[in-house]
Amino acid sequence: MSTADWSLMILASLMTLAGVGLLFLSWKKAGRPAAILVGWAMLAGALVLSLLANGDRGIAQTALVAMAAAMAIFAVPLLGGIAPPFAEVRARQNSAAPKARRHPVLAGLSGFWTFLLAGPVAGATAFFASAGFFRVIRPADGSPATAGAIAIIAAILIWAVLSVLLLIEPRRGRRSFYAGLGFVASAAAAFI
Amino acid sequence: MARSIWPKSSKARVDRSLSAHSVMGLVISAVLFIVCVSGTVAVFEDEIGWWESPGSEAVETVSPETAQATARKVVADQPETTHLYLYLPRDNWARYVAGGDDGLQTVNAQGELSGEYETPWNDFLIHLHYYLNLPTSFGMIVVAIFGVMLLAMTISGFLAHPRIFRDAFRFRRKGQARLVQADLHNRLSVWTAPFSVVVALTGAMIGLFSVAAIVLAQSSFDGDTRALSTAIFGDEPAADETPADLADIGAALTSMRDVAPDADPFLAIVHDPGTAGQHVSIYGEHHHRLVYGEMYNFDAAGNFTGKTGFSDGEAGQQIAMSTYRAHFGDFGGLPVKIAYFVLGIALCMIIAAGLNIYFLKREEAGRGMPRLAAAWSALVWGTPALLAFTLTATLLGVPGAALGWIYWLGTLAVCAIGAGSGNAIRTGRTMRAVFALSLIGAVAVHMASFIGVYGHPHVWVPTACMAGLFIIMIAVTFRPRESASPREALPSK
Repeated sequence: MSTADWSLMILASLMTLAGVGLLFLSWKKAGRPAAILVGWAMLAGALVLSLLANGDRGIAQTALVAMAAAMAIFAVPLLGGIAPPFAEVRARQNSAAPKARRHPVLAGLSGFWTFLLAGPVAGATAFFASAGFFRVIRPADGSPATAGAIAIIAAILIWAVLSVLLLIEPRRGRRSFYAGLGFVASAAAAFI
Repeated sequence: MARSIWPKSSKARVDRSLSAHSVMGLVISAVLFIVCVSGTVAVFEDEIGWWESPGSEAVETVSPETAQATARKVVADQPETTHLYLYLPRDNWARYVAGGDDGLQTVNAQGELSGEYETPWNDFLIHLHYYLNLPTSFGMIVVAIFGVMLLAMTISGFLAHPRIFRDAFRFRRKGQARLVQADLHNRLSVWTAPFSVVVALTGAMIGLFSVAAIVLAQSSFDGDTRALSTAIFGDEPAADETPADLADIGAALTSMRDVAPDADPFLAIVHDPGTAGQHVSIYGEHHHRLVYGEMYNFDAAGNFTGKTGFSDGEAGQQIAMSTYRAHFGDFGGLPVKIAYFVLGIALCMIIAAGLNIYFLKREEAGRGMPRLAAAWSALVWGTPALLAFTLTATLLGVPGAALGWIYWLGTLAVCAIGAGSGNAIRTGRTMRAVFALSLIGAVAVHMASFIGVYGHPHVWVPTACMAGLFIIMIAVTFRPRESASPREALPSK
């Protein structure tokens, strides 16, 4: 890195620290949306400067500076010690009638079924969907490297989002239906 | 009260998201915690490897002539090898290591092979993090799936906490334990989210590449499972096994200076050495890029034949090759590694606090699970304790093959002990004491074994760090305010 690049990186780091500090101060004294915007703007500006100074590696380094600054803010109270996680628990008065419990075998099977849907089925659906997506974005001529990399990232993101959405759905029947529908549709997109 | 700039979330959606977050956390936390702890330690794999086997001397630079001499010695040592590797010294790793299919050896500044490159504990640690000590191809996919689930946890966590940005700095460290744990979990989660997303995504990409290659092969490449990897990582020329003189790796390194003066060579590979089809690949680090390196290719005479395009080729190649440094924190020397270590610890704390919240909630609802909570406490503190214990064991001469068994059987044992005691605080304190004792045991054994080389920073600095960690653990373990039993702290019901 040249001297100019180093200077830009140092400036970006200082802007990052100032941005995190400003966000912290504006959180401590609420009601100053302008300070929040300036804080975020400084973080965004720091990322641009670091990109100019050190490419994508610079962005990653500046993001680390921001996270490290936030960690430093939390380290102060943490080093002073926190309440232990298993002490001074206050038992709630549970006045509501206990919920009717399902048979443990049925509950276990239901849990296993949910695991299958959110895990393997969602995973297969994600990979099939990304394979279908790959067929769309793959260039007719030339290297499929970029389309391939996008497809891998898409598969991972789709799997993660699909798992969450399936678990958010409260009704087991609908959850199974959505998972099955997604599986069939994505397989069709990939192979037909 | 300040107005929120964020849209209001429906309570039902938030509740369901929280439920999904909890369910997922319950299923994956234990294994995910082990993956995260091992990954956090593995950030320093280069430093640990050298500390573990500290006899070899530091090598700052390797001349092309020395590299060529080393290559000849490796081929003489391993005549049947299909690949020859020279790991050249880097800015933050002043070592020279070379070898072939049958293993690596350390090399001195004169290019002489100076001993086996044996780092059994480091190898165990890497095997634990990459594969959970399972068969490699299967284990890597399993670990990658935990990366996907970590990503899903991040997504559901944000959905479940609509005030997460508004409360970005709110941190209560005293008072009701569940709120303290919730603040710890949520605040660290928000501020380490970029790190968590990056390590989860890149880890999943690395581990699930083979799965994607198989699926895409069936859907788009007529069953050719190598098509995707060839497109991204390049292809090797056809082999010609006619015997020939060893490729001129020294000439290739000399050419490299002209071809790419800004790229620091850190790995030279001779493919099919000693055959007519041999060729040389040299990885050069581009210090302003996240890519692992650009691969510069040379023929057997050392003439440049082209580069693969990891630094300026297809965007997909650049993305794929950026996953390694982004995942391992190897893009800024020791400061970035330390930052990754700290953020890794934060991620472990997030996971630990997540399940603590669950157990505290159950306790509050009158449905406490003290045995499971104690088993969790045993796992949280037993994981680093067992890592330190296996380190001591390996320094005492226990073979590397046994470390995985010791670790996993030990994990089962500590969880059983914790569940048996039913007292999370006492279990955690015991495990911290075991951790501290194992650490100082490793330090003592290492000093006794290698005291003669303790003048080198790569030896005494890690030792000093472990000794410092020992002091911290002792201080944390014997803090007076944790002396009360949680049972005693509970009101009578």
